[in-house]
Formats: sequence, structure tokens, C-alpha cells
Amino acid sequence: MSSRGRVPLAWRNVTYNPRKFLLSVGGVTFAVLLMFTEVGFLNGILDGQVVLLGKLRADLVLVSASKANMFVAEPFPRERLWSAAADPSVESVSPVYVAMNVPWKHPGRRALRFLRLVAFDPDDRAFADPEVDGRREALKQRDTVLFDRRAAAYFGRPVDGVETELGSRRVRVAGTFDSGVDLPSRGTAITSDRTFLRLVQPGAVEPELKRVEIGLVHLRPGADAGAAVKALRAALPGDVTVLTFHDFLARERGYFLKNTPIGLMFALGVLMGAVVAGFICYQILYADVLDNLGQYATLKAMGYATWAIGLVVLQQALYLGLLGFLAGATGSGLLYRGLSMSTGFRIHLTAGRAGAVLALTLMACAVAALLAAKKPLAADPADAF
Amino acid sequence: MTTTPSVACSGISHYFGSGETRKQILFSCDVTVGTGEVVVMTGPSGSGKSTLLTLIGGLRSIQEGSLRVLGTEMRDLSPAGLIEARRQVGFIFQAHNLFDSLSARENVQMGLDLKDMTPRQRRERADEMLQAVGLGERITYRPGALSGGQRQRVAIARALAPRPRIVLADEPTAALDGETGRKVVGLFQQMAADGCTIFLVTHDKRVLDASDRIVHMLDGRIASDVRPRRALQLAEFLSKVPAFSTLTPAALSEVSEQLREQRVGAGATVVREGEAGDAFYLIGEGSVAVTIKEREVATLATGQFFGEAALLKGEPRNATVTSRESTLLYVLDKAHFDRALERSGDMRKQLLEVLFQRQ
Repeated sequence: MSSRGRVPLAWRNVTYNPRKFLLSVGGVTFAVLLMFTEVGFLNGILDGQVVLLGKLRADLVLVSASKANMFVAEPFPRERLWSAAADPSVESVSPVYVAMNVPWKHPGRRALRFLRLVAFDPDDRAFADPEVDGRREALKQRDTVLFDRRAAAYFGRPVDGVETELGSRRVRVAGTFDSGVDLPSRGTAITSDRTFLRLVQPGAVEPELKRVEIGLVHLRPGADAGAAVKALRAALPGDVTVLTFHDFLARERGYFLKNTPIGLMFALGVLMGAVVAGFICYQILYADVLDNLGQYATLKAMGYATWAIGLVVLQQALYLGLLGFLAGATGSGLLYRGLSMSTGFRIHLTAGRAGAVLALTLMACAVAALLAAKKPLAADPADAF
Repeated sequence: MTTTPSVACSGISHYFGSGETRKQILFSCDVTVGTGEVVVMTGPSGSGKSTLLTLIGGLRSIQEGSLRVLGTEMRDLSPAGLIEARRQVGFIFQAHNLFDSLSARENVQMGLDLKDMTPRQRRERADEMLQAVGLGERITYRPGALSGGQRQRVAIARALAPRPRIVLADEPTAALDGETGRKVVGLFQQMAADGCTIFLVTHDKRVLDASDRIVHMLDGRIASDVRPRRALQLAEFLSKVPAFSTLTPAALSEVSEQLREQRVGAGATVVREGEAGDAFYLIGEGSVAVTIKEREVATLATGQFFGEAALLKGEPRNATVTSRESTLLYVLDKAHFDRALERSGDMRKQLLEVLFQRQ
């Protein structure tokens, strides 16, 4: 039975009373917003973990075997990286150093703030991000840094040429890049390994960086990453872990999900949103179905099958869910932008996440429809006479 | 007059509830209704008339007895078959049961959506029906903007739009004023003329006047089943019979109720010369030839009668009567005839006079 040209009963039932229509869709929209907020926050936290790391350029990554999370310092001996470089499939290696909680002085004020300092050898192409890669020459000058444009405002929004104090030294901002806030840190600066050394080991007679936080491995063109991982694992002692760059990012992204109840907490939040959506949808449908019990009984008397009546209620639920979703997704888009701008967290509305919220919303509404349709499905046309 | 029955109930009994609380609602009801008849169902509430109609409409399953609707035995239908059967029936409920969200046209179209029609045909048919019930100006109105009577007419249009073969209506004219009421009754009559059988539960005088039959129910039984127009016609015919000319209207209608219908084909011999007379005949429709000793002496037509002479005189038939065409006869048995005569004092003499005149 095609629906072409048939009376759009479900649509009419949903929309005919403008006030009721706005209230119903508004209710579902609110629940959808709730879900999007939860999904957004969780992903903001997870994604935040790899925004900076994602800017690195590597085929394989070496980290300390006891390292759980990138931003808790756990360096490994630099010799491991040189050993890896001996493998025939490896073209080059670049050590990356990280220091946490380095004091930074607000350029205009005297307040001290703490940031994360990442360092590399400007002769290496350690970063894929052109904003960093393009500034390697500038970084070769002593006491220059690149600063994160998205860092929290209390760092003072430094621009090119601004000078201030980092740790014990006076540094000059030689450029900016776009990273953002993550859970462990609200700002990042990038500098050369030499400047880094002077900052972390001031006054050392013969300073040298012996311990590396992240070892980047670049393979020769055409080399097989999987085979190289195996070869390096076999060649290197057990105190380092060898990962492909992709696995490394996935591991970092999943850290909070795996090691903290954060995932469960937000999942519960999303679920609550779905329950609210379902509950609102049920309330609306139930009231509507009660108003129309006699009408549904009449439809049955006319020769409509019971399933056709269930379908009307289900359609109404899906219309509510869909409209609520569209309004909610639009609202969340704005909300995410606002939050990103005010907090520096990157919250993206990706198709996959939107799809998941849509699926949850429609599912909740469908369940509501099943519950609300009980009465009209059971309505006896003989009682209408 | 009718040929094929549209609805034939025989021995229909129905019960509500089960076990201790089981209550019998219908007691072996028999009623046969021909295609195109307009039947008014009367009786107090709880008399079973609604239950009988819901059985005819396929809204309940048959428990006992046989019910043939449009040639289909309802007892044998599966639930899906019942749903299918309902599509031939137009229901008009007392509560109009219109969707507030739909316009008058869309409410009517709900009934048409089950039909194999193009969207354009459905819309046109809906508009046509709304015009027929006098709502041509209100096609796009929602029920909330219509009066009670207008809503009732939308419900009527919805039931009639799919051209059902049976209409079951519960007080369809209750909320209608004089003019629209007449319009709706006219619509029912027109549908009936087109072969739709119509059952109405009503107390509306306008509808009673337009009905072919009045079935009165009492305590789950059919208490009476009369055809007011036929009864009137027969009483008129009978009043012209000299033997009955002194009967009161009440007595005439009583006699007319004793009449039995008999349809004979063309050329059939109804009465044969020389045989014993056992019945009196009234011609309802058609004509017959009267032959005495193989010589045709007369032709009798609608409203005329024959066969009384043999009954009155107690002699054998003095003529042969043969139908000229398909003829409907109303037959009064000798016993009933005699009883009627007893009530009409001086008739014997009068009748003999008539007989004399005829010869």
C-alpha cells in the first residue's frame, strides 16, 4: 500500500495545533540538547588528548613501556631511539621532549601561570602541522617559542614578537599554532631542544638531553609499518613500547575512557537524555492517543488493520524525534561553538556522533510509541457503536 | 422488490462475558434483508439491536447461528477476513469520531484511502460527498470550526464516500435540523436505490417514513418485522375487497400481516379450474389471465384479487388463473380468510352479489 496521496494523518496529528506542536518538539529538542552536551563534553575531553599529538609527523612512535598517558611524564633513555634508527627500514628518528607545569608569566601582568612545554630539534621535521614546521628556522634562534592561540586567556594571548618570562629565561614568541585545552593542561608552548635544555637544566656544565618523552620514527618510503613494528619490538629492550602512529593516537585518545569512569559517567548522561526524550515523547503521544481513541476505533471499523493504526502512532513518534533532533542538532552546533570559544576545548559535531544521537533519539521515541500505542491497538470498534 | 438477500441472519445468538457472568444478548434472531432495503431498527437500549448491527458489520465474531452478508458467511471469516469485510460497510457512529487534526475533506478521504483510487479521484469523491451533505463551503474546515450537525454530516459523508454496499448508522440524523435532515434522508434513499442496504437505529420520524422495514427488538429477540409501506399498500388493496370493506383499519392491517408472499414466473398456473379452493390471492405486482373452459375471460393486474369465490361458496375453482409475467402474489390461507370474514358481519351476502355481478 503506497502512501502517495493518502491523508498524512500522523503528520497532521503532530502539527495541527501550533502551540502543542512547539511544546512537543521543544521538549524533545531539550532532551536532544542534553544528549549532545554529554556527547560533546566526553569527546571534547577525549579529542583534546590528541590534538597536539596529532600535529606530530611520524610513522612509528616509541614511548616508555611504563607510560600510561602522554601527559604524565615518563621518559625513556635516548639510546633506544638511536638503536631504532639502526633498523634498515628506518629513515630517521626525532626525539620529542615534554616538560609539565613550566611557569609562564602573563606578558602584561605579573601573574605566573603553568603551561606544558614541548621541544624538538628544529633540524628535524617532527611536526606535520605547517604552522610549526614552517617556523623551524625561527625556533633555531635561542629563547624563542611558539605559543598556542587557543590556550586559556590567562596566559595573555601572546602574539608574534611578544616577550615574557618562561621558567627562568626571557623568551620571545616567534609564532603561534592552533592546539587547544585538554584536561591536564590549559596551554602549550613549543620550543627547540636547546632552549628546552636551558630551561629544564639551568646551570648544568655540560647539559645534555638523555631522556626522551616521545620518540618519532620515520620509515623509508615503501617500508611496511607492521613489519617495522615487529622488528623494532624484537630489537629493543622491554622498557620501550613501539606503536604505529595511528595506534599511538588511538591509545592516547582512549586513555580516559579506559582508565577512568568518565566514559561511564557521560554514557549515563547520554542515556538519561534518551530516557527524557522517550518520556516526553510518550507523554505527548499518550495524550494524543487518548483524544483519538474513538477515531482509531472508527478506522478499525472502516477496515484499517491494527498494524496500520500502530504505524500512525509510530510515525508520530518518529516525526517528533526527527524534528526534535534537527532542532537539537542545530542548537548543539551553536552550543559547541560557544563552548569551544569560551573554554578552548575542541568540541566537534561529527556525523558519527550526530548519527549516534539521532539513533538514540529515534529509538527512545519508538519505544514511547510502542507503549503509547497499546490503547489504540486494543480499541474495540464494536464499542464505538 | 427484492431478489437476492443482502443480509441473512438465521438463528443468531450472542453472549457477552464468560463463565458466571456470561449474559445472553441475542436469542436466535432470524431476519433477511434484501439488497437496497432501508431497515430501521427500533427497541429500547439493551435490546440487542446494536449488537446485531456490529455482527452484520464484522465488528464482532459470530458465536452461534449463521449470518450471510453479501453472500459471505461471516462465521467462517478469519480476523483478517473480518477486516476485509468491514470495507464493504459504511459505519456512522453516534459519536462522530472525526480527527481534530484533519480537515473535513481529509476526514472523508480517510475512508477512501483504503480504496484503489488515484489521489485526485479520492479528493474529488470526498468533495462530491461533502457537497451532497451540504458542506461544499466547509471542505477545508477542521472539526473544531464546525457545529455538531456539520460534524455529523462530515461523518456521514465519510461513511458513504467509499460507496459501501451496506450502511450501518446509529442515530445519523439526531443532530440535524429539518432541511439537512431531509437532505441526508434523501441521500440514504438514493444510495438504497443504487443497491446499498441501509440499517438505521433511529427514532427520527423522517427516517421512519423513508424506511422499507421496521424491525423492532425486545430483550434480544426480534419482536416484530414490518414493512410499513407494503402494509399500507396491502391494507389499501384489501379495503377494496368487498368482503373486507367493513373492516376497521386495524383489522385490515392485521389481515395484511397474515399475507404470505409468493412470486410466480410467467405462464405459471396459480389456480386450476375444478380443483378445491384453499386460498385467496391479491396481486402485488404483475398480471394474470383468467380462463374459463379454455376461453380467456379477463386479465387481472396489481391491486386486484381472485380466488375468493371458491372459498365463499365452498365450491371447486370455477376458472383457471395463469400468470402473464413474473408476478408477486399475496396469499391468504383459507383459515385466515374465514377468520377475517367472521369479523365483517354482512359480507357473505355482499360477496355473493359481487360474484353475481361478475358473471
